[in-house]
Amino acid sequence: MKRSSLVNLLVLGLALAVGGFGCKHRPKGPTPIPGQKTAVAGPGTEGRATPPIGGGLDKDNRPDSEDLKPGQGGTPLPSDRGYFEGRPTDGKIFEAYTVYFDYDRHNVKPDQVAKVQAVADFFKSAPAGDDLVIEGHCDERGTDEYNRALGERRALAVREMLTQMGLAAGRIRTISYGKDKPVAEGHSEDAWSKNRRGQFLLLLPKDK
Amino acid sequence: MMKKFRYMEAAAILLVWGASMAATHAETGGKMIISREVDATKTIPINLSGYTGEVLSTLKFDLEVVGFSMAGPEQADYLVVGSNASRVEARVSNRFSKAEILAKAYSGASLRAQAHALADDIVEKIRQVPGIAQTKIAFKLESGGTSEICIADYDGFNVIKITNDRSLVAAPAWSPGRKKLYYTSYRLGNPDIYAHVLATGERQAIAKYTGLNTSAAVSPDGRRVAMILSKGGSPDIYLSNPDGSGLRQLTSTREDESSPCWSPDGQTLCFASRQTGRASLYTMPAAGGAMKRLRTENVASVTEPDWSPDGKNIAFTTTTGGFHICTVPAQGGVAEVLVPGEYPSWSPNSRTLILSRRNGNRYVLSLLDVPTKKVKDIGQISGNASQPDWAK
Repeated sequence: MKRSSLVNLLVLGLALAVGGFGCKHRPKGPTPIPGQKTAVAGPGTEGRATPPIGGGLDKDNRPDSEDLKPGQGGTPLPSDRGYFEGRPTDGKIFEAYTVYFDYDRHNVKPDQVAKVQAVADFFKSAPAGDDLVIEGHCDERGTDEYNRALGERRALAVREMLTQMGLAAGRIRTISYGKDKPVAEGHSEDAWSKNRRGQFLLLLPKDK
Repeated sequence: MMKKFRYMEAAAILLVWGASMAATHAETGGKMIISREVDATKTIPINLSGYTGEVLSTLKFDLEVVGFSMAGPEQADYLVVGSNASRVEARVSNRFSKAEILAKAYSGASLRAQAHALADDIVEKIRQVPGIAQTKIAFKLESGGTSEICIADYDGFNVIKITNDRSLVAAPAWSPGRKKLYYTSYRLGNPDIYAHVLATGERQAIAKYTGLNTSAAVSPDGRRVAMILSKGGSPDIYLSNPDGSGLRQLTSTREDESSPCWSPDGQTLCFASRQTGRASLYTMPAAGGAMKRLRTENVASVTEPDWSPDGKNIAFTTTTGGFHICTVPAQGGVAEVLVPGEYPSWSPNSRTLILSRRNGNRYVLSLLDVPTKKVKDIGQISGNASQPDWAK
């Protein structure tokens, strides 16, 4: 995670270029610039838009954590876990779209929403067999099991936002690691801020 | 045997109180002396002579952990004279009254085990609580990015690795009677809860739902398991039978709950919840009902409760200004901040806490004698040891 924002831009640029050439293969990354509704140059056959099934957006018509109404129990996870298992994953494709959280919070901050939107947009034209894993992580300042629950709550908050953006809830699973998998060592805010994160993994179909 | 002994001691104490309110170590003779040591917060000076090597170091550790201090023969309240040539032998007397309170020889197992047995007898005679020297602990041991579940003697000796999955594990929890261990493992790529039979090594996933499955806690009667599952869309408390069947959801908050533990009568659960935005402790009837906030005055951001087996106190961790171990009366009230550390677990006799704390770049297990607030590290485990659970 030491990748600089400059490198991120390069990755984005490359992805856009690839998309622009109408590559017939799987898109190499979520091509839209975060926040912009640029169409993804998908494989051209199986792109599908999923109608929103979440709670819907509030007046501002912009998905943000305000749309997650307190008191709701949350969006249940798919009961058939076997559907997600034994499939290859690609963590690189969404590397630049990791969502970061404030200390001890699980709401998706307004400045992080564009990354979630880009992932949602990517799936609107991704092959039907592609699904998503969201990993939830925490910094070292909470206790082990508290963090395991908080990391899950973070992943679920991102998942709910994605469903409100139109991604089917049945395509997303969550895995919390609490503070067991930090990306940055050290005991300062610099390291902590990098570790409080929601990471996306593309889940590929079994036969590919 | 033990019960009978207790009654006799209780009777002796009453006699002393009746005869002399001062109740000092005066010439009241024999058993009555014991009344002087009922104050659990007092450090008791004791002298060991005739022991060497492992037996000596084991006895010292066992006694110091429960509030004894090593003293010269002229300063000690109690004198332990014995040997460990082929077996451990001991005569224990009160230095003031000269009364012999214990004369015993031990056989079988190892010298180390015999020393533990002697330590327990001394503690029972003098402190009037069951000893902890022959108890077991389970913990998580991390090394090189993977972690395994281990069990060991309470002092960290005789470590046995229970898992060998080279994955991540968490939250080991004993089933009453020490036969089974519950824990979380990521071996299938998701945090799932396993029940592991120690005698056979057989294990069974009792909760492997989509999302989080963790923090198993077995009820004192061994018939129910409390746990954290997120399958409903938020980490909530659930209850099941020991094999995972009969699952029932207990909380349904939007915020996350964590670390359930049981009251010793099995009627109530205590856990952490972020319902008000910050981690606090709550209680709830195990039969279901309303969550009730447990007052922990003086500290905020509290997690990892553990209910003492005598029902009186709840130990927990506060994360304000680094991790600190605290206790609070079980009905709530003013919290006492004890020492730096996290993940407290009570000893079976409700006197000692085992905890994990950072020591340099390493996590070590430590034993906290709650009445005297003295801490002793368990030094001989390599790797990062955390999440200890004391077998009951």
